[in-house]
Amino acid sequence: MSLLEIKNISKSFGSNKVLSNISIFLEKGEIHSFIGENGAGKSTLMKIIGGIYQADSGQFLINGKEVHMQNPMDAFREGIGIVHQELSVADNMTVAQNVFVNREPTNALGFIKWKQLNEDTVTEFKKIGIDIKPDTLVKTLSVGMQQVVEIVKVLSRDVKILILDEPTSALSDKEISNLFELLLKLKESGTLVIFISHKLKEIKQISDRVSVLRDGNFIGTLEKDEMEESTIIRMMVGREIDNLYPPKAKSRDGEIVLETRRLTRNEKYLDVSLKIKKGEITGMFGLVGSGRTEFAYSLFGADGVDGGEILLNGRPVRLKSPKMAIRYGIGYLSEDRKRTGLFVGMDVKDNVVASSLDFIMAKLGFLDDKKSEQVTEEYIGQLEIRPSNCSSLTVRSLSGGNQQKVLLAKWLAAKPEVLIVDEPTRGVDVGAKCKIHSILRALADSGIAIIMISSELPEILGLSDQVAVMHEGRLITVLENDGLTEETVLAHAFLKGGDNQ
Amino acid sequence: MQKRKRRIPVSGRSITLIIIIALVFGVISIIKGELFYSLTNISNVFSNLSYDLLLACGMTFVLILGGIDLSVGSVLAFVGIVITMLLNRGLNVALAIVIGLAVAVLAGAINGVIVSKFNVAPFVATLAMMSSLRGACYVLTSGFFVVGLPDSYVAIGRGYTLGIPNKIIISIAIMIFLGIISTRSRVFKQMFYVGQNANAAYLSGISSARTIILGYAMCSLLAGVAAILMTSSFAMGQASFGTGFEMRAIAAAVIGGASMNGGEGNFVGTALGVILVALVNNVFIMFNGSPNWSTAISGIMLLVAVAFDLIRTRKRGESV
Repeated sequence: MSLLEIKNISKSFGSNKVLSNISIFLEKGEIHSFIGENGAGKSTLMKIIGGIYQADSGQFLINGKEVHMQNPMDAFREGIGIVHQELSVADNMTVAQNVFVNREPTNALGFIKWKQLNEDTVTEFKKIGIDIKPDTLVKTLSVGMQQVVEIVKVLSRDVKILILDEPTSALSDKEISNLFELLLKLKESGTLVIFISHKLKEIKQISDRVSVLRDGNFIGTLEKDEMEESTIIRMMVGREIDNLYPPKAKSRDGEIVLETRRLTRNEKYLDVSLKIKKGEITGMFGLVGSGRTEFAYSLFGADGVDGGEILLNGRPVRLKSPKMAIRYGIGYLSEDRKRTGLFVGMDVKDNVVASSLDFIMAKLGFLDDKKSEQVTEEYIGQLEIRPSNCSSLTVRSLSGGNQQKVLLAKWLAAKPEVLIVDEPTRGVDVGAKCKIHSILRALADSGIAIIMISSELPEILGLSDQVAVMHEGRLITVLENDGLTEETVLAHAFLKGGDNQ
Repeated sequence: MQKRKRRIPVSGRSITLIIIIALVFGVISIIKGELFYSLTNISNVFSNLSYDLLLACGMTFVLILGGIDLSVGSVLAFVGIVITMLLNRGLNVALAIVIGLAVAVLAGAINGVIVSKFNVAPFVATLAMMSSLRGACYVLTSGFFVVGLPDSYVAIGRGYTLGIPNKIIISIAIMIFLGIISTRSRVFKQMFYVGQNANAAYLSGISSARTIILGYAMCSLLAGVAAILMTSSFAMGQASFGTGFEMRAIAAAVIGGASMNGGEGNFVGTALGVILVALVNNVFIMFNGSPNWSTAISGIMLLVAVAFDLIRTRKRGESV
């Protein structure tokens, strides 16, 4: 009998099916990894196991008995604990306070029994073979040790199933090996460890079995001796590449409009040298944290540089602010449309003209209302923004796909020479996605240079003329997209990147 | 394509306010009759309106930017002291006014710089300014009134032009100016962008720091104008002028449609808010017979207005 049996779990968000009919057996005392591309459904599945989301259908069986979890507390009661990707320690409190947050031992008057609290904390850490001063402030610990505090916080609740969601992304090599030792100890004591990571090497090293998800479907589980990296990659990306994408650039001999030479921003990216040509779409592929957005910020003047130079049409430029970059003809469509892109409480027209106020000026600092209306109507038509009379509706009232089109319209209105688009189709439906792709290609055909940052590989391959692969702050390679395959790009992103560590 | 009338920004809220004001006016007129309806009382209600109007309009700028300015009352007092002391020492009236307004702009610009460049919370930055300037007023005057002002200066606040009080003419002229800039001015529009989403504004090439500094400077400038009107009509400068005015200004602007979360606000609404606050104040005083209620009433109205604003935005937040 399996410790945890996942049986026909399905989950949709609105009309978007995130998990369909997932069934997996997970055993006591194993380290079981999950891998899949962004959006494959790993995190959703973990959140369902942890009681944060509820499945639409399907069952969970623990030791053969069906369990229902309505919230994270229920999951804790069943012995399931999650360590999330982002640290959630209170860093100006002590280790003991963090481990026993909200469960501090108290006396009859409700006062905390500090001595016992600290002793209990020492005991919990001893269980995993670590000596720690319980009254250390968490902020004085390394990130790795803070991660351990989180894990102990979860383990101190008698956890039978421990879920770790990308625990290694913030850790150094040494901290990772310490973590792995800890996981092996837990495994020996009979805990089921569920491990999520994007790093193939780590997965191979630590897991007993690995399960692959793709587009919300369970693809298969590999035993330790079957874990070939190439096999895992093939399982991850195995989908048919459809022909939904517009044709590529007719020629690749446009002039170089933007060039970076050994561009460096400390702690963010290093020595990035890249040439961007007119009329082409340069796809920039890399995981979150690979430095791609930070690189784009520097190109857009929103962040400085510590070394190297940016050449625009052959001349070095220092971009001190987005305002200046826009004047130079550079646009940046940001990845988080609600937080850094749109003004959701303002109407569509105000949003469309936000980056091009300088172009629609009449006299004496007054805006030309007619002109902004005209510009807005033009892009509503061109991008097929719905409803078509939305010019004076608030952006908040539009659907996600249409909001994204408004964001794109904002940058089209600014008439850039170089347009950087960061995750241009995140969270939009298929129809809007197609429209945005064809607009981007049409823009490139009209002579604009486009840099498209995306963590969706099919999108990168379907749309780009050249593909720049970033990993951990470095530009690993730039590939011409002549029948590039996902395997080739992933091999660069994961394997080479992994070797560099 | 349908045509849109966007010249005068009258919101649904403004219409509601006009109806409420009319209702209060009507009901109290019936209950209290002459006492309320008398010209003396009405002119009483409107006499202080010009100061409140200027301060509340200034506050509207700052609220649109997502900030708050607690220092307007102190700026009013300080600028008043500066001008009256200069006049008392025989300086030319025009020059004294220019210097006074420059001081006002400077105070606001300092607020703006501290908020935008040093990322100090507007509440804290302007609270500090409020206290510093009020203190400076007492230091400069040792608590005495500044009198001995030239007649030409006193005429600004007390005089009439074509039978209309100068105070009202000046306030209305400023309102018209604000009305014009609020329809189409780029800088004013940029304040909404910054107040709505400062990150997105920055990434759209809008210089948020410059916009914020300008907004606070504008707010203080209007407080400076109010200082001229007040000191000239009282024919003196006084360190305690404008005490507690910030409360009424915030209440009026929020009632008029400005949001504590920024990105919203309009001058027509603010003007109606000012009238409503003054009216409610007057009604309470009439029923209680004591003007001591005034401050408490302003506080309660501010609380109610802000609470409604929060409920409104929270409701909307959920529907995002």
